[in-house]
Amino acid sequence: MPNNKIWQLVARKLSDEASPEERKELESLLQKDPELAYQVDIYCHYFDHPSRETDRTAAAKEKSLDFFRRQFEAGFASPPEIYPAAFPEPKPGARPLKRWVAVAAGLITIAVTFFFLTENKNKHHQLSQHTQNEVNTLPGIRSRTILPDGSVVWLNADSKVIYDENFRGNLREVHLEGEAFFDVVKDDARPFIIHTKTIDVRVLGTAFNVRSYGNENSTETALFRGSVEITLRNKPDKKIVLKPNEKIKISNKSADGIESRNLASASGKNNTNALSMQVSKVHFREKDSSALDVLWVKNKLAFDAETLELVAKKIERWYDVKVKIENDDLRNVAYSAIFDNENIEEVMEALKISGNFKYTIDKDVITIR
Amino acid sequence: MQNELQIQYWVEQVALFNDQSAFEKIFLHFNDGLYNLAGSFVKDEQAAEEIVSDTFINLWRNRVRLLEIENLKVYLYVSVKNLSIKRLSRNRSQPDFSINDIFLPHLADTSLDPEDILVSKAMLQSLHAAIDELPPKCKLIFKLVREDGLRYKEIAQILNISVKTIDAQMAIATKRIVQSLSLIIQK
Repeated sequence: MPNNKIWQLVARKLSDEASPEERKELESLLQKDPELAYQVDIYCHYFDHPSRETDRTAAAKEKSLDFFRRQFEAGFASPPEIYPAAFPEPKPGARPLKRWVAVAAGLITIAVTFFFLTENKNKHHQLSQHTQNEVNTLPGIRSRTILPDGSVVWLNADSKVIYDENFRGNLREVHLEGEAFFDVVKDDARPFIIHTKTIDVRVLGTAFNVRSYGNENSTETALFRGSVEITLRNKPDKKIVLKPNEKIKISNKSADGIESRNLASASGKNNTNALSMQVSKVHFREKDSSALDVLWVKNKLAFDAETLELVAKKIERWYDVKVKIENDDLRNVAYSAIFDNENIEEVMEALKISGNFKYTIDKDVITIR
Repeated sequence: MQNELQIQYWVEQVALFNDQSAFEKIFLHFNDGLYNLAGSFVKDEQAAEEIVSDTFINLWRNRVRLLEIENLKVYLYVSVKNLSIKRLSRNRSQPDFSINDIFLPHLADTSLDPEDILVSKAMLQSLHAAIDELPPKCKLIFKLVREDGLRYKEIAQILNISVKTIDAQMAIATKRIVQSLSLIIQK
């Protein structure tokens, strides 16, 4: 049970009353409690986006103004009921007008996933000479980090994010290896760009999720609201703009790979020909309408009609184990499942039952046959 | 930023040139917050209307001193509060007013949809319910921070309580609201 300090810090942060030190303190407290951090995150979004339902209608205000005008005319015939209170004392030094809340009002949520092939050595993008910050996670570990502009990054297991110390310059550039969920502070003057091996994702003010498995030969972007612009690394002139609830899948190998232009969405009319890509709909969970692509942020391991081969890779990263599939017939059997806080044995048992296979666990090595 | 500059411009227009249309713009700008504040005290639409109107009539009378006001927002909120309490004490036998008597039936929900932040509808509902159940004083402070964008120090001046109290009340509100979420998630 967190102590009262943390509530005070959350309240101060939301009210823009927190000092930089207090923000740091809050971050480190939340880092120790991902469950609470998640709840606080939801609350912060809620807090920063009040509905306007309690606002008066334009008609009510107009009526108010009419009433005031009549009083105003009559007001000079009689003395006012009460004179105003003394003028408040001048405040020492004007405070900066920029409010954290105002910035946060433009919060956009994105998630990016990218897994490099392990033998990838040559950095695709020459990093600038500024001081670079690097955040790493080991297999089996997930973490949460704040970028210099206030944007939040949730880093999935076995991933790495690199960024310029202060986001100097006109762009906020982040290099990603692995999987991450970004909560980006909107700043029209400095676009936010995520570089991955295959694609660059430019945030146009929206909520979206990019997911790209290098060792599974594809990169995915799922868009929830607004729009995002995707540029292929090997075809920089090719820009793809996604519509809400669309998901795009691009081959990591090359742009002239297998053509599978299966436009399941109504608006998937982008110039996707000659590229190995596929546009489809984002899958939402019916129960609570959370998107399957980002369940990992909530500590849930999800498979969305994924082959056992992909499932095995996810399990390897999630539990820091090795999974071997000895029976090749099993590789392309598709699984859909969501695991919440289950251990590896429970996950394997569940898969075994629906998949009709046998497996053994020997220390960190799981063998499916 | 834009707002502050705009208001400053209107204030100058009123103070220096008796600009009535600029004055009406100030009236409309603060109408939501002031009307709701008056309403939470007097619990009567017409009375709230009169209090806001009186506040601005007084402001107009003092317009030559308008530029001396350090914080117009605080000044207006204090005026509305004072006029509200004065009206209440006139209608009642006992003159003392307790902040726990204020009535705030509806605070703003969120403009976000569950999918915007990838949570369930039940979670958002639970947050809203927890806010609605806050004690009156706590709720008023919460509202002034969240919906009216006031600083702790400004609220302290308006409600005539210490910043420390506001800090504590906001922590209580945060705790209750976030904890309502943990119940939902564990279900």
